[in-house]
This record gives sequence, C-alpha cells and structure tokens, in this order.
Amino acid sequence: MSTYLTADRFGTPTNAKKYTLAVWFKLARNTNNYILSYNYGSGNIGIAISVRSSDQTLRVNEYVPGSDRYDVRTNRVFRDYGAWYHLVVAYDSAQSTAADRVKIYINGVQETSFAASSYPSQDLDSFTSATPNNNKGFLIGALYNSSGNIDAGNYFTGYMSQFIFVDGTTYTPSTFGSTNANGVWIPNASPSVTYGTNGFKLEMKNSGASAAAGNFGADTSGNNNHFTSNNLGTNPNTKDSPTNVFATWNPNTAFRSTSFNGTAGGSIAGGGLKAIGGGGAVSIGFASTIAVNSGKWYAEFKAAATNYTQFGVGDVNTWTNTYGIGGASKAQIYGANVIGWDRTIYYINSTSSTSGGTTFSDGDICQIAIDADSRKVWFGVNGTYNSSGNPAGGSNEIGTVTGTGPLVFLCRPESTNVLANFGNSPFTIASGNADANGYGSFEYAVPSGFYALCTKNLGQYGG
Amino acid sequence: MSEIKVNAIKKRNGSSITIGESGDTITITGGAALSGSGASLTALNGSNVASGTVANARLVGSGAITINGSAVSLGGSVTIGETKPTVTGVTPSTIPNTATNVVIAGTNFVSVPQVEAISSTGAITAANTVTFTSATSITANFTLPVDGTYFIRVENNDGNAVRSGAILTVSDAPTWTTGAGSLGTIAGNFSGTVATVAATGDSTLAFSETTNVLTNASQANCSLNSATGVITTTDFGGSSTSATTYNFTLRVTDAEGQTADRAFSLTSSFALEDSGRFDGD
Repeated sequence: MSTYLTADRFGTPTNAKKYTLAVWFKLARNTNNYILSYNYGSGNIGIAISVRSSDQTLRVNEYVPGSDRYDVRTNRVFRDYGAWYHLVVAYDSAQSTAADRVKIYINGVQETSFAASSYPSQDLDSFTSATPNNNKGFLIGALYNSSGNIDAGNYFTGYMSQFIFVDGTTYTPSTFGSTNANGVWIPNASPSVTYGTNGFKLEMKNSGASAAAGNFGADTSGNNNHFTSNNLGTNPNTKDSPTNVFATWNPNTAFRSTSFNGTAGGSIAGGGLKAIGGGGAVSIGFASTIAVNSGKWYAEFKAAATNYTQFGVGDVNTWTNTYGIGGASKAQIYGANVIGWDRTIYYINSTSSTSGGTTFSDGDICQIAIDADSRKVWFGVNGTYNSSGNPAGGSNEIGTVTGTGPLVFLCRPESTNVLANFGNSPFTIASGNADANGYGSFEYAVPSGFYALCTKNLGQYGG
Repeated sequence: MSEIKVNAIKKRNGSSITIGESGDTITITGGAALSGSGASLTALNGSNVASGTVANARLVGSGAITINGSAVSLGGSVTIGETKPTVTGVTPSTIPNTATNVVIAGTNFVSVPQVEAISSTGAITAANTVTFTSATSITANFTLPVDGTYFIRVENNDGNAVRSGAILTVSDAPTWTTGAGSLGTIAGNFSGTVATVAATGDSTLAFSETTNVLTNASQANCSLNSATGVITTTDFGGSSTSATTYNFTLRVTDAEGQTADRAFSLTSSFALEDSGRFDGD
C-alpha cells in the first residue's frame, strides 16, 4: 500500500497569486514520484509537482483539463537515492518577467536550465483559487487523476521532511536553510514564515492517521490545517533526515539489471527498505546506499518467506562492476569478495559452506554485523549469532570478505520481500535498541562498538 | 625666747603692718588660722609658704589655673584636651593593585588629613590623594602594588593621628579568560557538557550567575559548577522546541570577595531530525 496525505482546501486563499512550497525529499526508487498535487476534477485546476520516472527530472505543472497553465521542468535529474534534496517552488504571477513567476530552487540554488519552461500569464491566480471537487484539495505523495481519484501507480516512494506550503507570500530558500562551513545546504529547523490561510507545515512525526494534532499529518504551522494520512506503513515516522541520512536499498546498484527501473526482476518499496524479489532466476539483488571503509556496523533483516532469500556483505566495487548494473548474470549473492547467507548455506568468497549456521525462517529477524576494518562478517538469528559468533569480541565470524573496496550490505529477496532495518525499522519491533550514539532502533542489542549505518555515525567513525 | 601674748596687733599709722624681716620665718601654730578678711596679705604664695597648704579659695583671682583653655582648680583634675581621629572602617575593604579610591569612615577628621597605608612589613605608602568629605568620612586614593593587608593611618594637621587595625586588603581581582559572547550553539534537548568558562585570580574562584537564564529550568535549563565553571544540562532548553538564544551574565568571585562579571550567550538549535516514510508499494 502506498502512503499519501489528503486535505481539502482550507479556505479562500490569502493571495492566490503567490505561494511557496518548500520540502525536503529523498527518493527510494525511480518511479513517478508525486510530491504535491491538487484535485483535478472536472473543469477544475490541478497541479502536480513531481520527479518523473522517464527522465528523473523535476516538473512543476499546473493545468486545467486539456491544457497547461504553466509547465516548468528541470534539466537537472534526481537519481541519487542516498541523498536528501531540498525543493523550493516560489510562485508569484505578479512578476513582470515571465521567468520570475515560477522559480525552482534545489538545495538553495535557483534552477536556470530547463527542459520545459512555460510560465503563467501575469497575475494568474494559482491552483489555490480553485474550489476542489468533492472536498479533495491538497494531495501529498500521490496524484489525482482526471476523475478526481487517486491515480493508481503514481505515488511517492521515499521520504519527505518539513513539508511547508505558504499561501500568499513567496520566500527564497534562505528562509528554510543555509549553507554550512562544508558548503552543504542544511535545513533551518524552525523557519519563520507567514503561512496564510492555506499554509501548513508537516513534520510527519508520530503515526496516527487521522487529521489531528500530534498525528503523522499534523500541521504545526499554527493553522491547524491537518492532513489525513492514508496507508501508513509500520513506523512511518523515521529519523532518516536531511541531517542524518540512513542507508536504504540502492536501486542504482541493483544486481542483474541493465535498466533497472523498479519493475525488472524485482522492485523497491517501503521507503527503500523493502526489497521485492522478482522470483526465480530473474530476481535481482540489492546493495545498501552506504558503503563503509572502516568502522563496525550493524543492521537487521526480515524475510517474509524464505525460499532462496539471501543476505550478505560484499565488496561494493565487485558488486557494482561484476554483479550489479551491466554485470554478469549472477543470480545469487555468491562469488568473489562476497559473503552470502542462504538460510542454511554460507557462500564465502566463492566457496560454499554448509557448516555451522542457524537457519532463518519466516518472521525471524536476522542480524548482520560488519567489521569493515578487519572485513569480518557475523550473521545471527533472533539475537543469537551463528557459530557462537561474537562481534563485540571480534571472534567466531562467519568469514572475512576478500577484496579491498568498501563493503555494503546485500540482499536477494528471490520470490519474496526482504525488509531491512538500518535503524528505521519498517517492521514491528518489540524493543528499541539504539546504538551507543543513540541512533537507530533495533530489535536486538547492537553489539558493543558497532553502529547503525547513518551519516552521523559515518562522520564519527570514518565509514 | 621671749613670748608676747596679745589679742590683737594693730597698725599705729598708715595702712600696713610688717611682721619680721626678710629671711625670717614666721610660724603660725598648727590649728591656728591666718585670717585676712577685710585685709590683704602680701608676699604670701606657694614659694614662701614653707609648710602646710594654702586653701584653694585663697588663690581665686590671681591664682587661676587654665589648661588648654579650661579652668582648673588647684587640687582638681582635668582631661587633657587632645582630639584624636578614629577610623572605624574602609570601603571597599579589598582593592586591586591599581589606583583605587577607598572611603575611610571614622571621627574627628580635620580637613585635610594625611593618610597612609602601612603594610604588615611596615612599608608605608602615602595616599595619592585625600578628599575630605566630613569629620566622619574621607576618601583616599591608593596605589598599592604589593598584595597583602594594610593598616590605615590618619593624621590631622594638628598632629593628632590614629592607626587602624589591618582593615584594608590588596588583592588582584579575578579576570575572565573566557571571552564574552557566544559559548556556542547546542542542540535542543542535548544532555551533557555544554561549555566551560574559566577565569584567573590569586585565590580560590567561584562561578555564579547574576541573571536567571542559564540555570532557569524554563529557559536554558543548565547547571553551573561553581568550582569548575563547567556548564552541563540534562535537557538543553528544557521544553523549548525552537531555536533560542539565551543571554546571561556570569560572575566570578575570589576568596577576597572581588568579582568580575561577563556576558555570555548560548543558542539552541533544533536539527531537522524527523521525516515521513512514503512506502510507495
């Protein structure tokens, strides 16, 4: 099920000639990713702000049935699945210069190169001027079709943070962020804006679905323009944020796909934490978005059904160049510089072994610990490491990954799904064990000296 | 020795009677009185009364005694009238080595006295200036390069003087080594050590806050270690959820009670730590 948020228009706009959209987003796969839309009912005005799957460009498109009111599309592509992007769309139709009426900023920088650039006429009232059909106004994470219904297949897969809409005022990115000493665009956690009648700020904390304060779709702008949340997954609020990016499965390094677009041989969902197998020999494998050169790292995995589901750890260079996009047609996590675990069998750098391991079954939570300095790997099931493994003590590892490249977590879901908990669990956990730095939420205790795979830990331990 | 007994000796003529000649001793028998009522006795004074006493009353007039302007009867007593100043205290009681005004409280100051500070070693340092305010208050400006305790000596122009006890202490005031201004930006809700402030001095130092911001649970919600200057918190900013700058003033006080204040600030930041996951299944 795909997550989306809905709300009716909240009132007559403060000034329909101006609005500002500011949102942080992180994509999880290449599909049509709709950030914001508005009811496109019969004779009504709709808007769609999205990243397109066909070319990974970002499009700001307002329309009435049959024609565009404005359509601005970047030449910039958005296909870094390990990064957060900050988008600001500033609409001001009163501007005398057409190109100034719709401005798009990415990470604080105004876009100036466009694949399409059709601007609104001067003083054109934006979509907020239109009374929505059937009380369906704002839609976040999906698209309304021409019938005014949620358009199946056009959702948003990934993460959004600090979703701000301002009615009646345009703001530049400096209101919402700043460039730090390292030249990185970082968020302002408490931007000061005048929201206007239809303005809102969604922080997406908590998990309640109804349109109410304190729930996932709560408006914290002060307007109480709350949204209803639909199809929330398990633990929809996460700590994967612009200031601390957690690993997810990376579509760009998916195994056995020369043109992976989310449909061939498998897919990614669950905000990039759910690897979906394509079944049989065509099933693809996935690697984590973050690779590590040093430090000790921990993650948990859960397979809905087992079959030939595999987990593992591998040398990212070997994975990408040999098994990944454009690589050989390997069907398993098996080969040079890779250690795989196929329920009962270990594949240790091309050598299979049946010894030692505890098998995992449906519903089990599997653990993988990596010491990237020694390149040792431990596997565990439900809190017990196989072969009396002791990651904290550095002993009884399953094996040592050969090669010299950075290491990544791997999985191959075969004909089922693999859920990964790199710190933001997409599956229910009874406990909430953080690492020693307070990051992540795991079912089992993180071994001493091991950490969740996120950028704040990378910054401390070198990654 | 012949003896003449008479009841009265009266002059034959004139107005005087002469008894004896120069060098003679005229004895009046003990218990007898020499009465001069209505008559005058001349040449009778302390130098030629060989024994016995002359009644005070007999000396009134030409025999008056005056000491420091006060009449004193012979055989009476008088307090010698010296008017000495006194010193009851100084403010401040502790000063630095640099030129500093000290207000001296006392009595009987006469404009303008001389004032000196006398160290425990006996070294005397005259005041740079002395300002007479009243008979009970003068202000002396001292530059005393050597730390220690000092006596204060005040001498009026008439020579009357007083030396106090060791009532003035010279000591270096504490000095901040942590620069004023921002102590940093701290994540909201942070728990741990926020910052450390430091100062130097010639005795034990104690840190405190003169405002009510840093250690106010409703504001910065920190604790200040008075001995070490370490600022800690278990929840920086308390219940605040938005970036806030907390301005406050800290004071360092040395063992002599000298203080130095400095203004600081701490700013809370709230990183964007949450996101919503859109499953997109």
